[in-house]
Amino acid sequence: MKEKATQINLPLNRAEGDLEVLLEVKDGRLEDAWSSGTMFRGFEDMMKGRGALDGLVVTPRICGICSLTHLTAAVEALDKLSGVRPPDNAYRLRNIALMVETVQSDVRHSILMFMVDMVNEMAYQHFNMFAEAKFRYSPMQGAMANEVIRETKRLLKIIAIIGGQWPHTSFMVPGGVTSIPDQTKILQCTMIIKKFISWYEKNILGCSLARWGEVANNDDLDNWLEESIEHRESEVGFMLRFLRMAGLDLIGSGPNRYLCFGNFPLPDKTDVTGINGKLLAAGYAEGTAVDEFSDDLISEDVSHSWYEQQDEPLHPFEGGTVPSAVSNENGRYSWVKAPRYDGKVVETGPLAEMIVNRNPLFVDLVERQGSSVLSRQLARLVRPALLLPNLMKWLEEVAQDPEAPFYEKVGAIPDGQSAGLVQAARGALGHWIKVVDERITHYQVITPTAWNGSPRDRQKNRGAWEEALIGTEIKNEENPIEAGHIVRSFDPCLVCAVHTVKK
Amino acid sequence: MICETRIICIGNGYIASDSAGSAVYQELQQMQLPPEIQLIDGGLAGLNLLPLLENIKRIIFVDNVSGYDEEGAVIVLDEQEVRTAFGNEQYGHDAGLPYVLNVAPRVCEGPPPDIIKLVGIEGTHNEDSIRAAAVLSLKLARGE
Repeated sequence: MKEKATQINLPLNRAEGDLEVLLEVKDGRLEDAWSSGTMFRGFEDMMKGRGALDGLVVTPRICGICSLTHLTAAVEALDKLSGVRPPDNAYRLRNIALMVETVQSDVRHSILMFMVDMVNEMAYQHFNMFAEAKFRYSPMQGAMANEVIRETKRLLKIIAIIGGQWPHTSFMVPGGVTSIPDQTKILQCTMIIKKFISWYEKNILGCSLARWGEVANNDDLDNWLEESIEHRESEVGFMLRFLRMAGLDLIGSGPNRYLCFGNFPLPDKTDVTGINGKLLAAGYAEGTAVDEFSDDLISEDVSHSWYEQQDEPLHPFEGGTVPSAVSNENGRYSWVKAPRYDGKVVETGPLAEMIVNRNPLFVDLVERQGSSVLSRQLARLVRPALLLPNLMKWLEEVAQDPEAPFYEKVGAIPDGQSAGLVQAARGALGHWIKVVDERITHYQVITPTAWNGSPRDRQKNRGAWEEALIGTEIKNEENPIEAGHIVRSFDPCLVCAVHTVKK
Repeated sequence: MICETRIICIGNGYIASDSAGSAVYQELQQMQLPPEIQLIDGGLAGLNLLPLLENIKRIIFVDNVSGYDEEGAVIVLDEQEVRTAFGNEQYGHDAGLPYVLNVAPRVCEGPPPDIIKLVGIEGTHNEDSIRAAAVLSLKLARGE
């Protein structure tokens, strides 16, 4: 006899107090899921009527963890609107700062927020790797947990140097950057990054960046894992072994459509190579088939969100953010909107970056068995291996040409509309702005978590992580750890705008 | 003059329920602070506040608090009281001061600060409570 479906709330409060995921379990499997953002932020309406440049100061306060990414999106929109191309050194410094924020976030999330779930006693105490997991990841006590905080803390000095201050720098302005670090400061940044790369190679990869770069498919990955004790005991090696043992390479497949806005514009003169003027190309992929990206195909559906309803999904240049939380009628259940690309549900984040940019390892993993918790989290933990060498090159290039300009003069911001589209650590981030008489008349922000954690759309299509949950076996309804792993592999981020001390 | 004390105001000036720290920061900016006291807008830095806990003798944090006193009250919590507040052990995107203070001794360089206190504003604030919190922060920063 089939069991009656039961509903459980996924206990995500440890990390995300303003995210609720309601799960429906039947016959031991997840039959349905509803993801709800429970906090209204309303930054978009706050921007209306402000000065054209105010996004540079206000939007970094949307998020404490990716504040530089918001700054980058805001300034890119204003660059385009002004018709200015910042000098090469400005692009280098902006890219370096954004890379530092991304690398810091990737390592912290992987160890402090994702691997910490491997010390869940009820689920994993019978694993022979459990004692080692506790040693590495236990909150406050874990050796690697504390080491990650210590090492990533040092990276902040780079942002302080490049940004001219910390916290809350607004050093990016239309036309370039406001701070010009001297040779000594650039050398200091170089030393910090070199030290971090050594630590990352030894502890996270267990090998050199170059050796990791040779891992081009699943067979290579297996061979790499068997090659040495350093590989197996590294964070990447431990994660691979633990997640495979837990079956996390087999669950959490998302919509199998991937979106990347592209990132890190290339200076005119640089040794860093990329695609279409960026280190990371923009693109949309169905499976591993990559297509060109078009901003025009983005729309926001609010049919299941607590906002004033629209006749149809609207492009962010047209859509509003007017709250309307009068009831849950017609199935509304979230403050998060449902962004769609060409009307489709997509996943964004490090794995999407890898697929869109044809990284051979991740293309192979996804072609073999689709996306999974493991492929999503592995992409995040090894992304710094791709970014750090380019960060070093840009530091060297700034040091070689310190007298070159860092700023191109920009006059008044003209009337018009523009978009700043970048990649945050968690995925595609967009700011859409309209300006009239040097005042903002319209501002829309779509965050990565809106893409990944959206509610249903008017066709009743679930959001990306809602979809990734469906069909997952839940071994213990008292401890639905499998669902937690799936949602966390997307690195949900909803609450970092508020940090009140509570008794 | 070597800076001996930091007043670090934290919170989000654009979110009403978390804006007291920002309001006190603006209030303190209008006052004459002695050179040995450094005023910092800590904003939403979370774990990235850690470097500010290094090489300093005294730290006075200012933030919204919840569940300690009557609405609008201005209170002082010592380091231990903050360390035992909600969310003190697990890291998340919303990791705040309790987590930062607990992890700091394990990861920060140099000797720990002699004194850490939090000036908290319960719930919503007004001009009077912000002024009171600013004056109190300054007194504590001076060691009074």
